[in-house]
Amino acid sequence: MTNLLWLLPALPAFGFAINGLLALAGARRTEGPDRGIVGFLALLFPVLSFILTLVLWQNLSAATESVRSQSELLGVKLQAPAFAQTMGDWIRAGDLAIDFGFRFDKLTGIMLLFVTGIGSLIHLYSIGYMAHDRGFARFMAYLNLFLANMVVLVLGDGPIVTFLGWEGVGLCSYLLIGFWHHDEANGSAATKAFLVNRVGDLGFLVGIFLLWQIMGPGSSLTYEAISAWFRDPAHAAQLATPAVAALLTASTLLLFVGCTGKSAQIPLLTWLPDAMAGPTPVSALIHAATMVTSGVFLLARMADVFAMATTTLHVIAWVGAATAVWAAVTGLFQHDIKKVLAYSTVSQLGFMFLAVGVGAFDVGIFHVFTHAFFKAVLFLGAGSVIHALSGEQDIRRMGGLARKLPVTFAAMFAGWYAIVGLPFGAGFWSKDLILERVYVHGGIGLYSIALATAALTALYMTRMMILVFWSPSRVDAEVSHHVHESPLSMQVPLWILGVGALCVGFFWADMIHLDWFARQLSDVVGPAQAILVSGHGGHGPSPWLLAGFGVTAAVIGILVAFGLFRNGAFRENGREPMGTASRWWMLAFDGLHTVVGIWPVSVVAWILDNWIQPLLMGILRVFGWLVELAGSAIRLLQRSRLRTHMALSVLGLALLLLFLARELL
Amino acid sequence: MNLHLVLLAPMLASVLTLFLSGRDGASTLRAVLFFAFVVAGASFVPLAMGESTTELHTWLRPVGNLTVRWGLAADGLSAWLVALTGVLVPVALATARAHVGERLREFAAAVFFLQAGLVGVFLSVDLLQFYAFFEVILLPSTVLIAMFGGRERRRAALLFLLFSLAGSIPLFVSIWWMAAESVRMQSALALDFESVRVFLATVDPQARFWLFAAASVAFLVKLPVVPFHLWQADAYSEGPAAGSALLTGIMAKVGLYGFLRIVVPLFPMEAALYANFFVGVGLVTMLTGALIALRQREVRRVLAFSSLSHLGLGLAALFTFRPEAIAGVVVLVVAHGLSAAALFFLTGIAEGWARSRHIDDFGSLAKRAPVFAVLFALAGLASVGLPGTAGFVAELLMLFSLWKVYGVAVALVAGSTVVLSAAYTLRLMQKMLFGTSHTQAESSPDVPALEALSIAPLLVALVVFGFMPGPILKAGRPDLLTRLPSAQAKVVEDATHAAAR
Repeated sequence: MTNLLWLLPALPAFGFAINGLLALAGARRTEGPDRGIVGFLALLFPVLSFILTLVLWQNLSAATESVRSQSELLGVKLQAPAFAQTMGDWIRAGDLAIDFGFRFDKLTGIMLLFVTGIGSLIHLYSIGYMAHDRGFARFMAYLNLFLANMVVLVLGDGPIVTFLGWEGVGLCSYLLIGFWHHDEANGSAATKAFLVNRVGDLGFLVGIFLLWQIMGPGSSLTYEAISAWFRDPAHAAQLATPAVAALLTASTLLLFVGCTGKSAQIPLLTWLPDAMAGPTPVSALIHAATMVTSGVFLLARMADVFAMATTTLHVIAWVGAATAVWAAVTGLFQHDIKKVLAYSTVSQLGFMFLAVGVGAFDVGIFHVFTHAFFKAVLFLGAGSVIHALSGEQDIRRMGGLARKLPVTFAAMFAGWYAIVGLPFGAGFWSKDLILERVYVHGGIGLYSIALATAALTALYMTRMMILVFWSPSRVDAEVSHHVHESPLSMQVPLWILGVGALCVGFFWADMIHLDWFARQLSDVVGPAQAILVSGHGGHGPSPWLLAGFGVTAAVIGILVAFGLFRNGAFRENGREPMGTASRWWMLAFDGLHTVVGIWPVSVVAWILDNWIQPLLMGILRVFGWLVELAGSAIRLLQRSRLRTHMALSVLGLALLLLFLARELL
Repeated sequence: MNLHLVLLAPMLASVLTLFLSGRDGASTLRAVLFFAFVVAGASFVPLAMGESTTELHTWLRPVGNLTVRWGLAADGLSAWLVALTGVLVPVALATARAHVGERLREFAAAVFFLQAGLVGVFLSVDLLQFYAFFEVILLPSTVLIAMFGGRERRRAALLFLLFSLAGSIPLFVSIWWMAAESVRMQSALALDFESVRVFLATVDPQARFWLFAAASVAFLVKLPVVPFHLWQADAYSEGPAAGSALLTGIMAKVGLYGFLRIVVPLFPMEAALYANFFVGVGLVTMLTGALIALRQREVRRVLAFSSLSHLGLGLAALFTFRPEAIAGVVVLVVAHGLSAAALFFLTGIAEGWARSRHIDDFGSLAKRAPVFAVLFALAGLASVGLPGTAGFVAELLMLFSLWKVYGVAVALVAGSTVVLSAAYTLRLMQKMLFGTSHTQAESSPDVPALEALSIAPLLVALVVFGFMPGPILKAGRPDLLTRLPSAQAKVVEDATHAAAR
């Protein structure tokens, strides 16, 4: 089984190769390659990858069970099994020895299940959504390439292999945000996403260097080795020394900077709303369900490291909380349906980091998992609405669509139900787990921010639902003639994901003692969490009470939204209350980027280009004049033609050689 | 004898090319491409022969106290550079055909001549012989710029020539001084690298400093670094694009090669003493290049400053002397050679369509010339060091060693190239490939098959080496800076032969 791991990324990569070549071959013809074939191939390979993941998961579960029963029998704790495959050396020089290898354990498995599963569904959806686009084959090829890179990201057996996928998904994100590249605004959004991510990636790399230094030269850079090193009690004393502790804090903070880039957290977050310039399936797959959650995945992957860096965890928790509330407030001001969802994604990612920051790695991953379902269905539903309204994205010109688009509405209702956290939806379980852990391990400050954010989430999501589906129609008369439900290829993913958004929470319904999800992850993140939790006493108040608070917050948010927006009321000029204030709030981080990043670079570049370069040229010229003054021979050289220069140079060289020869002989 | 064939092949090709009639364009192209492929085949001989390739022939019988020898030797580093030269030349000929038109014969002759000189530089183990080839390459490269360049070509060629000569004459004086000094000290001096190193260890430190400075300047100008870079942007943008590709792809590498082979091994004490200075110069060059590249209005000037930036980082990393850095710099030499050359080749083709060099005169090539766009994007991504391309391996190793020696702050400064290089390269891609068309030309052709098929292998190699950099890393072995490819063993052999006779 183990030696099949390479197939997981290779299958979609193969799909990319075929469709890419087809797209390229047909690029200059008026009609692209046959959509049936392209669509079939593009869907086939992700599905195969998904099936293979299922098979591997089955085998891994069986292996885990047998190991577990063995260890109970023997009374010793045995290492949890994982599939690993090393393809060979990658980068070996000096002290660095990096192999190219894959590792499939329970954390990877869970990530892969929804990455390939939801990925396949979104491929299917895209076949319908992009059917009339001339770049259909190119789009499907990029999606396949993305999937291959995402699989490498989660399957890599060490941070450098992960980094390969990490930058690979960044590239695909760039290509897909700028997919409609004739519009330069899309290009700018794509470039911004890539550059902001690269700032984070630099942090990632240097963070890895520092981690490697802590472990000592010659240590292997695989997750297995890293975990083993940090779990080893023999290293505890070393980690306690101030120097190493400082190094660890620096290392983990730098790694976290990498995560803020990829997962759009403060301060590297504004690229994600801009990324909505890409086609909607891209927003659903890359910018909601999978890629942007990589940061949370990385932290869970290195849980053993972060468990030792409590300062960093505090920073992560507060950054997560601040991002969650900032994005939730910003989501309130948006008119573009996709922007509402984008800010919602940023906010939910903040929740995940908050969970990780209080040491609940498994809960963070659980929210990644549930969020993938409900946010994917919300985005795909939004895509369906946009499709139905011939490209309209402004929620001020929607309304009353519940009856016209029943399937889309039902799916989005399920997503809405899950995200606001009404009882027994997917988000209810995962968000309540986060709130509970934050309350117990994070303190009342973080808990109240989280609770307020939950209320805000309900507020902006309900506002969106009202304006799109329930309020009186404000759709242009002409557009409303063409409103139609989406084709079947788009409806099937909506149905499946909608059901998922309602049900997947039961994988870990803590209050009714369903904890399948937690058991899967216990081998991976369990030891790290045990360290963090050991300091704290028993449980807080009853989970039912905390859940009650959470639901109350959601209900308040919903009620306020109905109170404010039930008529879809807008002033004639289209501005909402708080117009200017909301602008400042929204653009705060863009402004920060400009002041801290773009201006200094531009100013220095301007000085170099306009002052330093001419200055150097001037010195050269002065030098030239001095030489000119020195003698008539040189003056001849300045005036004359190139041929003379060449002749003179050769002559000079010959003279020197002659001189040398005479001297020596 | 094999290494002599490697050197003779391009010389012969150069001469034979001049004998072509040159009247029939198609047959000239066929002939020069045939030559180029044969020469390229020969260029892989050193790689195929492995590490310990040496040939030595006594050029002049030892006269008086001085022995001047003719010797060729190749280790992994030389072998990769020779192979790189061999690979880039056919592509240069194929992509330049549209631009040089009827003068393909002259162009090819100059290119082969340049190739011969470069191969000579990379295979020399004798300082005087190295210097001779080092100067020989100036001739064809100046001719390429001056004959086949744009409107300001003469000025660019002159600037290039003057800078190069000014940079290399101190080196020549140093060689002459060493010869004279050894004569004065009544000791025999062979000028092969190994003997020179032994000799230099006996020289008065102050004198040795000046020799070190002279040798460094020669290669700093060739690389180049700030403030010796003033010739570069003009030469790269005024010369023919295919010629610029060779200039940046290989000739700039002579600068790094000179440090790896001559400056650091022959002057280990000075190199260690002034390492911080060179790291500083390298980083300043890297930052300056990247920042100026952001503001350039011509595509090839962006690429020129991009080269400045990348090779500046290479210099900085080299002077950490870490084994990772040595391996990284060797990978950089190959990776940058391939990616930068590919970008120049492609830019040359696009300039032919747009009849302009200005960055705003392209646009929407992704739509009009999709094959071009794919090739250009791949080359661009390879040049920004995307993981999965060889550039990433180089960047990772170089940043790692800078961090290891100088700490986090320097690593972050050096690492800013990760962001800045992406910034100017993506700007280039955005302006050239995307957006709307700014040209009058209603239908532009895509890259012709010959050009596409010759550039594509460069990009394939970049990806292959991105995943399997092993062979190149092996060439950048840790003792590269201390174990010179030497002809000593062979000398003994020659002596015994002579005695037997």
